Amino acid sequence: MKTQNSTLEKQINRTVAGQSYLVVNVSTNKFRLFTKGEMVREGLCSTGTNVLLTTDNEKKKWFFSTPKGMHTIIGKTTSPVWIKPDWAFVEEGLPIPPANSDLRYEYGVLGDYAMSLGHGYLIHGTLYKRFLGMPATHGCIRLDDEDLEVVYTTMSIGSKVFIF
Amino acid sequence: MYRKIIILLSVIVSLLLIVVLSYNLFLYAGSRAYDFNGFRITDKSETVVHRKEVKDSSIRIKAHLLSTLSNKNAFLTNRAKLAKQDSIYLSFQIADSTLSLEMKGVALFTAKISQIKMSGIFKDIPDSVLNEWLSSPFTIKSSLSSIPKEDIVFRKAPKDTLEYMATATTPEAISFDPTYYRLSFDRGLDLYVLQQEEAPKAKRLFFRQLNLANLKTAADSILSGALPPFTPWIKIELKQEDALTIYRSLPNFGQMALSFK
Repeated sequence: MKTQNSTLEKQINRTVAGQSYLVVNVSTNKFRLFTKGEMVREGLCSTGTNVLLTTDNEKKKWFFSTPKGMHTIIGKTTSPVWIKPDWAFVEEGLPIPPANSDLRYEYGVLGDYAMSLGHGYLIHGTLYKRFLGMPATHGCIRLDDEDLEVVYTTMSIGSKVFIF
Repeated sequence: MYRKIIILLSVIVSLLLIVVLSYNLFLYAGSRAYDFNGFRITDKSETVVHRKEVKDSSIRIKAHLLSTLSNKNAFLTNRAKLAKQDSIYLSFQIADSTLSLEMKGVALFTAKISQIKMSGIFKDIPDSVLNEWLSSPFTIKSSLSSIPKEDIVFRKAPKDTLEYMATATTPEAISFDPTYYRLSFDRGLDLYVLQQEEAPKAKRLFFRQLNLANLKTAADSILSGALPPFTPWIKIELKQEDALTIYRSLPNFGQMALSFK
């Protein structure tokens, strides 16, 4: 039975064995970075505000929540550019510009690095450092500059991100 | 007058003796009566519990080791089963006083339990019966809580920038509301999670809600001609932040692997 227990333990720990992974707690807006099972960095982050934004006629809705579960980094970028989606204009009372409008592009607001989790969700930097530790985003995960650099250099495409 | 008092006293003493004797007979027959929040609820064990006298100490030690290994085996098997799914689940190790959130076998969050209390029945159940009960994961059937599962803010989009400027808000620091909840699992287990920080008003309100829910369950049973059900329970105390994190992270019908040893 001891052998069986040992085999079961190996089976359980298989998912991230020897890899780097990120764990994000959206309830307390904290993150921890692990490499080979050891925690190497922890700190504050900002995650989704859980705001449900609706237009006046309730025809369009957006829910700004950071999705829980296991995700995979599918892309890494340096000096990312924010391509503003429709809600970024709607929430400020601005008219929605066409898809290829210059108004859609904002430079320098996502920090030095960005990692994509798919479906438009990113891990990126922020100008609003005073909001770290608070729910402040539209679903993305914002990190401080130093933390972001460590996470960017430690994680690779295919690394897991656990959000709970 | 005095004769009447003596007769009355004799009747009362006789009745008390009958009650005490009946209670002892019940114990022998394998039934237990537990006080729980003011209710006297009886449970009938399905098997009669006999304690065997194990005199040989080496046999006793081996039996204990085997029981511990079996318990661990059941726990690891359940965790391995749950790790194959895509959901967050609970991993509760009573001996270590830890309650963890896991996903795919990765410990996402571990809370240290400051206090554990449980039904007396767990002391009396034979290890073989307990291990059988623990052999598969528990699934949440329902929950009762002092906090919402998800804190959603409803906002209407402003008509123009002037309205936006007038109504714009800045992010606020997280406020942790007093956190108390009960998770009711299948196969008869209730887990009470209470924050260790004092919040008497919120605690009273929660237990009032709980007592009303228990009253309704008891009344429904009695009206249908059955005794109110007894559900073994485990009560734990955690830091408020930890209790809230666990409650908000668990899926509505989340699962749990439980280990006593």
